Amino acid sequence: MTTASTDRVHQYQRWQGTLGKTHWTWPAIVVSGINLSLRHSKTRILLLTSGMPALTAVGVFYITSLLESVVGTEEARGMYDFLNALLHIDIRGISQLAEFRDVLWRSTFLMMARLQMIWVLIVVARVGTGVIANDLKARALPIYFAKPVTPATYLLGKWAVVAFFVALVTLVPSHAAFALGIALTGGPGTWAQVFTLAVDLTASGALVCVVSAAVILALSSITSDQRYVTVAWVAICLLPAFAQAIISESLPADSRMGWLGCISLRDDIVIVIEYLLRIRQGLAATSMPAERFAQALGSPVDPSKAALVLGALTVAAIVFSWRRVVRFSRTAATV
Amino acid sequence: MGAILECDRLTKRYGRIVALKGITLTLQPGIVGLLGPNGAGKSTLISVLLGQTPVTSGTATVLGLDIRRRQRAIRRRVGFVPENDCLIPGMSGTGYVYFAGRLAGMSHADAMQRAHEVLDYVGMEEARYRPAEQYSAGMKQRLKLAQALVHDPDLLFLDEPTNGMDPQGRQVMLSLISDLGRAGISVVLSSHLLPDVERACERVVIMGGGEVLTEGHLEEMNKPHPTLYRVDFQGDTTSFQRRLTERTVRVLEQSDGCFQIALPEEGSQRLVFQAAQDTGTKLFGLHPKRSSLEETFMAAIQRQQNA
Repeated sequence: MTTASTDRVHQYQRWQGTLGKTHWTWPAIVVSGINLSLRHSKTRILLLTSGMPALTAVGVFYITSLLESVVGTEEARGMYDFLNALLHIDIRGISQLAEFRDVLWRSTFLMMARLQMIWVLIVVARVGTGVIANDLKARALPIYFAKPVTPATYLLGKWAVVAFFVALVTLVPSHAAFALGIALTGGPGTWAQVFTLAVDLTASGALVCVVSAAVILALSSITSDQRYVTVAWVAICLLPAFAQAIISESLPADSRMGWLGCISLRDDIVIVIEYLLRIRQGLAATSMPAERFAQALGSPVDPSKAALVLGALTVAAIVFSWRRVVRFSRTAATV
Repeated sequence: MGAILECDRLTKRYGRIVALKGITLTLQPGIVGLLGPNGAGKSTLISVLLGQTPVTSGTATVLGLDIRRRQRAIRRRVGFVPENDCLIPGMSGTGYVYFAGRLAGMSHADAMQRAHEVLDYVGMEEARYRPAEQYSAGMKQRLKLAQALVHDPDLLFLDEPTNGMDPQGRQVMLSLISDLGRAGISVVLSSHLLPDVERACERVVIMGGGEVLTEGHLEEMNKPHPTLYRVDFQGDTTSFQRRLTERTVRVLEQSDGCFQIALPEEGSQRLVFQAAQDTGTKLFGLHPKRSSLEETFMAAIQRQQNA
């Protein structure tokens, strides 16, 4: 182990440079947080596997484009079954599939979003739960708040770390699937049909990033023990989802469509994504009978209610985190 | 150069608890020791001066900057070494100091170059590339000093910087602090280790119960006592003591060949010489007693408790 000699060679040298704007210190927090998280091989593996839903979506796009050329033939039957199993949309016998491409793609991305929620749950549990809790445990806050870092800068930096990883498992695969889908299914012709989807996908991904990062920041600021934060995060994600499933089975449709249909964080996000992807409007605008896609969409829940729940939860989480971080910043030198 | 710190009736309350009771203090550039028992208000004072904790009343400036309005400007010019480890798990020493530089507002290139400079300065060689949590206590303290120095502050607050260090490590840390003082960086050294403060500091502020109990130059605190002396002698102890007492010199303590005495008034050392001459005692030394920092510290705390 190296120790400093009492006969030191170096003398202190003053620094002649100038410091930059302190408002822009948050990217340093982001880069540091990302680098630290990516050092864990489990995180890297998790990120690699998050491309699976996107690959599935690309497969669907490719199969639907093939189906357009073999519709009505014996070969098409297996493809129908595959698509029906994935999307829960009955497209058998539809001769002009190209007309439904936009809505089929939107349905595929909804299916993909549902699958991606699993990765969001795991990735946030892996990289988000310790984002503030680990600083509390290591008593590392003085390193931030003895420097010109404000609570807002700190919170923004930490939020962006989580949002970055959530984007890696939602936004990035979605857009990659979108681009690959266009490349594999006809290029400019397909692009002209589905280009508005790019904006909707961005909005959907941003929604997941904002909500999940805000919620985990609040949870992570409660305690210095990352394990408790992980348990709380998993409980918040899963328990209301189970309750929602029970409610859906036991209550009449009217009740399910009201506030009782909005108690699950995961389901609320999917409901709002479904709205953002404009699937119901898209399907209604086609000649496809409603019963063919009823199973894919489930009971209609008012998206404004789900959006309100998500908005309230996000604002509450941000306010809570803010208050906690302000408190930490005031005691950083004395903890 | 102006004062590094100026506090005027600085008060901080936490509910009913008054952590700082109207502190008025001016510190000139240099190395200043901040002494006080637990709960004296040292950490609260540092936190307030860093602009982290809002004050209840009073005003203060650090390097001429108002602590109420210029917190970020203060932290750009001040470095802080906290008492606790405050290391970020997984970061190497270099990464940690680089990160501190980036938080201070340095560019990537500047932060990296400066990180290596200050790590060289504190004596961290190849260990800088290892995860910081594997460091020894001494290395962690030096790493914390490096992160505080990375943006070249004008003022350093050091909270117990020698905690947990072995004697050699302490010597290194104290010599670093002295060197920083010579380089023109003012240092406020909060410590409960009086020998460290005596070794490194020029001035001392003693706090207790949220107040400044006493402050001044160490030299003044250690100045010779006007009437208390130690006498080294050879001769008959009893007769020498009797003669001293007759000449109104009080013997406070006695041991073999040595008396601790109190003269009746300043400048009356001749009484000791006369008593020695009367009894045929050989005098080897007559040394004025110097009060140690510890005595000054204890006396200040005692006065505060009595008050």
